[in-house]
Amino acid sequence: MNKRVTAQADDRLVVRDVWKAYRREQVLRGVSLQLRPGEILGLCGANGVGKTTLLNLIASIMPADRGEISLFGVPVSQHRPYRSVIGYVPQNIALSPRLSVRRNLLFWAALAGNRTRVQRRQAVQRVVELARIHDVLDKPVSRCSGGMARRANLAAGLVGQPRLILLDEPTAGIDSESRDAILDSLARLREQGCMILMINHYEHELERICDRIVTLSDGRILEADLDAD
Amino acid sequence: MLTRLIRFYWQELLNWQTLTLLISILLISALLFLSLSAPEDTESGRPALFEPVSLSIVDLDQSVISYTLIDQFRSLEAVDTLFTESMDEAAARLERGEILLILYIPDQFYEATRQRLSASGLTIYLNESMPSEAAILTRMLNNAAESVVGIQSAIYTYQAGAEPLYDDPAELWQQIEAVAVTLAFRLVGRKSVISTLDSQRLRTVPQVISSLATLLAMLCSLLLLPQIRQEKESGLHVRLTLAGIRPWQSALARQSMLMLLTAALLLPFLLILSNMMALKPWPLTGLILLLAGTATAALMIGLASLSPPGDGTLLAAWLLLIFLLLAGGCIYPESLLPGWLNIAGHLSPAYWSRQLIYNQLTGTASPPMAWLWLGGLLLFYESAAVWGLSQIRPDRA
Repeated sequence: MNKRVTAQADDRLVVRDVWKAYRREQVLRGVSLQLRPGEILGLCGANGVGKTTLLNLIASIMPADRGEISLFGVPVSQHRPYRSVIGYVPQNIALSPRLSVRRNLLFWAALAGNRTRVQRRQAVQRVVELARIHDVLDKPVSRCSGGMARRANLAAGLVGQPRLILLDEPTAGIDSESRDAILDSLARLREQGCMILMINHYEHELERICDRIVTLSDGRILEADLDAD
Repeated sequence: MLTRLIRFYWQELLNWQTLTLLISILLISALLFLSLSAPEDTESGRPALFEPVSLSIVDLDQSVISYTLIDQFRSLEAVDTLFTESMDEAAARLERGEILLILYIPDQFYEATRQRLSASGLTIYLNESMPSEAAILTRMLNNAAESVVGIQSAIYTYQAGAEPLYDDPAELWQQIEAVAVTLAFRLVGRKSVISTLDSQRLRTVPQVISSLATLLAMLCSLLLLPQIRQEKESGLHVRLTLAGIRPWQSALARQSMLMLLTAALLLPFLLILSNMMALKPWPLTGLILLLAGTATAALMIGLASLSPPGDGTLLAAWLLLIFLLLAGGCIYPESLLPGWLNIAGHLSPAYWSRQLIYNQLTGTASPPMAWLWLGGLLLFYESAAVWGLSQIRPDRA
């Protein structure tokens, strides 16, 4: 398993005064927020206001122009320890469409550092139960329904037992049963002490599950996240 | 981690769609290769380029030039039977499709040639059912005719200067005629009076085979395009990056898969070639093709990584592939290409692959620089692929 973050003097995700521009277009203008273990933070806002950009910065996929991001006191620039505790669930189905759900999950379990076959199976079993995808385990992802594929996508992000889970519109365009299953899974993860940052267009969904909701507008957080230092 | 990734891609690759595509490519290329297989020449044991053809010559001239011409045709390896007969008989034979063409030498052809310093007056009647072969022989005859004119002109120019050396002008005239005719028709027999390096002559079958094999090896790289695009657009690549997969590992894993696939695809043809063309050592040819295929795959990875979303990438990839093949001399022989394209060709893996395989097929030693170039290109394009993969970012929203 990858070397995990051990020093936990600070147990939060801290985003402080983050700026990001794409060429001349300023997307984020001094965003600050923080997240504690066992907390779900909802991020909403109109299209193009920088929600996904902020998520990508927190996921360490791209660097911020200015500002600080740290997780458990580890700065985002220290990729290996920082990334080892992150579970990233992109908006699209980031799985191999030709392989079965099981094969996909076993692969991600292996990448998460589960060395033995038993460990990998156990890791897969755990997320299969969490996302409730038993019925489609042996189906190729391309043949799963939209809702099941999203649940499998979520499961792949959880297989490494992350401490911070980043979700980009995990319930977009799916049926209510799958939406409920996903939201239930997130609630269970919160109970386990995970931090969850979720982008969603549907405010009623965020209200149903999130502890806090922040709205991004014109690259700024509309209502200041008062907990942020 | 790399092993896991290779295994993952391998599992991904083994599906019915890929297998169907592979079998289709295999069948098409088998047909292409088999259509190139020439019949064995029983005497030499070596493969012959074409089926020998039969010709008719209608010689109304009955002169030294027409006799030489007939002799030269008889000595051509490509000519099986040469009929000398009347126009009616030859026309009937052409009608029955027994001959490729009729060469009609009119009466007083020799005299006309001498007086007008021209080799014109020959008429060729073609067999319309064999247009390609007829076109080749016609071009050869035209070249010969032009050569006759050129040589005659040169000799007649020096005639005046040489005259004082001879007591009998008739003797000089006879000698000049003999030299002119001999030289001219040596050209017909492809024995050029100008000494040329035999290795520099383009041989059609090795050229076509080396080009075709290179094309097949490079074509496989297109399989990577949709995979990289899917990986990029779905967020799978970002997820892999976050899981600790480095761009070079991703590129290497993808290319390893492709190399396996290409090897499986090319192996039957290399074996066929090794029998058909006495190609030895064929594993070396396989290595050349794999290097060229891998370099092209690296280019495709770079292209797919850096290109914006949309269907234009596939078109761009095709255009790039065609350009590489063209500049590499796989579509038209290198000698027919403009100079700047020949220079650009040095950056095409196709150029070196075709050249190295061609040299192998013709038994010519390849310069070590060709290997260095191919290896260098591979490294350069690999770097571009790794850089391209490292630039993949999720779509912004």
